[in-house]
Amino acid sequence: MDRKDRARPPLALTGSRGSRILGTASPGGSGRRAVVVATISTLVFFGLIVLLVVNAAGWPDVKHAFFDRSIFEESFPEIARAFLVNVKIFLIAEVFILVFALFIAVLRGLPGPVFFPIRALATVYTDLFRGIPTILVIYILGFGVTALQLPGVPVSPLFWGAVALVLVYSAYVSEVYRAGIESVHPSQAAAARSLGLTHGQTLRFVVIPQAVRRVIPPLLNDFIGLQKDTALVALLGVVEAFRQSQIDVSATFNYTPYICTAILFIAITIPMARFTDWLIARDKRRQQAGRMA
Amino acid sequence: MTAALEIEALHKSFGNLEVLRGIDLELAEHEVVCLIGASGSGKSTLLRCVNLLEPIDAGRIVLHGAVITAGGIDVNRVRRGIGIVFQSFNLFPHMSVVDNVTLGPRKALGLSTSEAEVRGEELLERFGLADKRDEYPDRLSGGQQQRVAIVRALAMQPALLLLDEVTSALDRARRRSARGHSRARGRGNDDAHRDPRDELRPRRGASRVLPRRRADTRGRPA
Repeated sequence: MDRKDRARPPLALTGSRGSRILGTASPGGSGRRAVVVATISTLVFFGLIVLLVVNAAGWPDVKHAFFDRSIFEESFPEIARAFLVNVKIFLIAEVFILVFALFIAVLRGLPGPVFFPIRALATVYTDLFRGIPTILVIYILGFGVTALQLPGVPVSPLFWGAVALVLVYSAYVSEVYRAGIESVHPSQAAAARSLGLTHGQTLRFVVIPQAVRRVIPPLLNDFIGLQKDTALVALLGVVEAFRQSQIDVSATFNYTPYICTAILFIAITIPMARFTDWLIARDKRRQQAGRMA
Repeated sequence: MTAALEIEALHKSFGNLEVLRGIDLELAEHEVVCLIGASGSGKSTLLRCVNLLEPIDAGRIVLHGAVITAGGIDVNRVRRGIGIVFQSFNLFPHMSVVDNVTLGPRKALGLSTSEAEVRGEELLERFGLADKRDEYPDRLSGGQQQRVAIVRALAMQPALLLLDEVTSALDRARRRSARGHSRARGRGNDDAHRDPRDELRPRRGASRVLPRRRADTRGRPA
C-alpha cells in the first residue's frame, strides 16, 4: 500500500511528459503508427545500403583489410589506452579555451577610443588563428618554439600540441562568445548601467550570463571539432590513438586498427552531439513555457 | 532656492534627425513633473539624456548644483542617484525578481546581500509582489513586470526618479496605488520626474504638466 502511494507521482510525471512528446511528434496523427513507419523505412534504407556494399566486387578484399576481427580484438586495448591521451588533451584544452576565449571576446568589446590597440590586437589574434590551418600551427609551435631552446620553456610535444589547439580553438570560440554577447539586447546593458553598474559589472552580471546560455549549443559544436582534432597532435610524435593505430597498421599490414580508432572517437563525439541536441530542445521548451505564462 | 534638476538648451540628434532642440527645464526639490506629448516627440530621449545613457550634442544638465554633462564626470556615481523605469521595463531575464531588485544596491552601492534583500523585500511588499520574490520575470504578467522595474529603481533610493510611460501596463487600481507611492516619494526627501503617456488622467498626481510639442521629430523608445 505504502509502496504503491510512493510510486504514483513519478507515474503521473511520465504520463504528462509522454503525452507532450506524442503531441509534438505527430500533431493530429497516431504516434504508434509513426514509430512503426519510421522503423520499417529505416530498416529498408540501411538494408539496401548493406546489400550494396556487401555485393560490391571488392568487398571481400575490403572486409579483410578493414574488418578483421582478430586484429581488431588484438589492437583495441592498446589503441583505447592511447586514446586516453586524446581525452586528456581534450579535457585540459577545453578548460583553457573556455576561459581564454571569453577573455579575448571581452577585449574585443572594450568601449572607447583608448582601448583601440587592445581591440585591434584581439581582432588580429582571431583573424590569424582562424586563418592558419590547425596542422600548420601545430607544426610551427611544436617544432619551432621547442627548437629555440629557451630556458624554462617545456619541450614536450604533448604540451605544444595542446597549446596549438588552445590557440586555434580559442579564436573560434571567442567569436562564438562575441556573437552571444552582441545578441543580448542593448536595453539590458542600459538597464544595468542605469543602476550605476560599471561596464565590467554589466558584462559580468548581466550580459555574459545571458550570452553564455545562448551560445552553449554552438560552443559544444566547436568542442566536438576539438575532440577530433586532438588526433593532429600525433604529427609531433605523440603516441595517441591515431598514431597508435598507424603503428598497428604498419605492424599487421591491415587497416582494421583505423576502424578501431574511428569507433573510439565516435563513442565520445556522438554522446556530445546528442547532449547538444538535448540542450537546444530544452532551451526551446523553456522559452515556450515562458511565453505561455 | 536652487533647482534640483536644471536642463539648459539641450540638443540631441540621431544622425540628421534632431530629436531635442534646445530644451530648457527646471525642477524644484520634491516636485513631480509630468511630461506629455505625441509619440515620437522625444520624451524618452530626454529621460535617457538625463540619465546619461545618451550623449548630448549641446547644452548642459545640472543635478543638485553639479554639471553632470561635463567631461571627466563619474557617470556611474551620477546614475546611482537617478532611478529610471524603462518603457519596456528591461528586467534581467536570467535573474529572479529579488536578484533583479538587489543587483544595483549590492554591486553599485556596496550593500551586503542581506541588507539589500531587506530593502528589496520591503519594497516588493509595498508593491504587492512579496510572493513573487523568487519568480523569474518571464513568468510575470506585464503589470507585475512593470512593478518589479519600479521597485528595482526605487531600491537604489534615488534622489531623482525618471519614469518612462510608467503606468502603461497597470490596471486602474494599481495605477492609483503606484501614483500614491511616487507621490509619497515626491513629498519625502525625493523628487520624481514622471512621464506617464497613458491617456487615463496622466496629470493626476503631478504638480506640473509640461507638454512636449514638435511632433515632427521622432524619438526612440528606451
